[in-house]
Amino acid sequence: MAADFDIISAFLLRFEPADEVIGRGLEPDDARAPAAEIEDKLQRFARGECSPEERLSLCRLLDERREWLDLLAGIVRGLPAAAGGSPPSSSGAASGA
Amino acid sequence: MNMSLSRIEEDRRLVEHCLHGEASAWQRLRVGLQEPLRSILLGRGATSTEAADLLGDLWADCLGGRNGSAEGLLCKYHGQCALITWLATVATHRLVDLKRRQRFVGQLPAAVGGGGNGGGDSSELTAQIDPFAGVAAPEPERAPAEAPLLELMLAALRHALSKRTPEERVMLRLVYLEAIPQRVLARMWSWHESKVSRALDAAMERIREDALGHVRRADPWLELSWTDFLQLCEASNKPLF
Repeated sequence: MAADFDIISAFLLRFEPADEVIGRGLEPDDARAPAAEIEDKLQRFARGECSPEERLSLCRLLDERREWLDLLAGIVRGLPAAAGGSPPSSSGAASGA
Repeated sequence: MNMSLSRIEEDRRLVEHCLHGEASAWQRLRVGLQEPLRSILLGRGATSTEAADLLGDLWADCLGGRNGSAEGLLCKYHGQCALITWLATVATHRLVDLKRRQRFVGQLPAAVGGGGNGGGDSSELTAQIDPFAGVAAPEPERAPAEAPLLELMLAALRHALSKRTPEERVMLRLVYLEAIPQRVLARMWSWHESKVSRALDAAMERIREDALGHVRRADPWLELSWTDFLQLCEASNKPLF
């Protein structure tokens, strides 16, 4: 599955580098930093502290502002648990989706 | 897709020998790939005649370019996949182009085509359209594009990805493009890791179904498996067109 998505992503980016669906669509000039409030939400999302409704709202936002997805990925990578944390239990406080 | 590097390296050397004019290499290439390519074309929806014609043209273009171009098709082989995969991709692009042109000709109005059976040569039919006759020929809905298979594949993927939810797209991108481990997504979503894995698998499965469904609706004659589709994605590169 990973290979499949890699292949179709590479194909889309090869022929449609500004593709709106797969992402990487914005020029650096368009890439604005999110407001502090959004960045705070991204931090909470990365830490698994968002409710299902907040996650959905953030995902819609990330779907429109792909450069913020890179930011989220950077935040996630910077968290200690990204390197070796344990998975949550399925009955976590923010669980539900 | 799991072609070994040594096979690809062999193919690159074979192509180099062919481009240097070594007759034995060219013979080996043609004899070795003729039947496999024919089978692929038949499997993808070509008739026996179409497969023979397409392969005849393909071999003619391999060393001598089309339309008087000095550069043969083999010069464009990128060596990123097996030669047969690449040639099958070129041939499949041409097959779709051929079928689309046949359909395009079939869609020309009977008053223009004369025979009314949808057959005939497209240039002959087009020549019969007199722009000064006072009656404008109706525009076809869509003339064949320069690279119709490429357009079809891009449209299929756009369609399939656009049908996924924003959450699914974010998860797919984080895991497969940003290389974020699934266990980290499990923490972010407060899901068990197995649920993340199932969600990703289901999303990719729906992408596969929707993309192939789009292809089938656009060109019902075209028989592509998901493996075929992925191979076409991998082997299609800009110099091909």
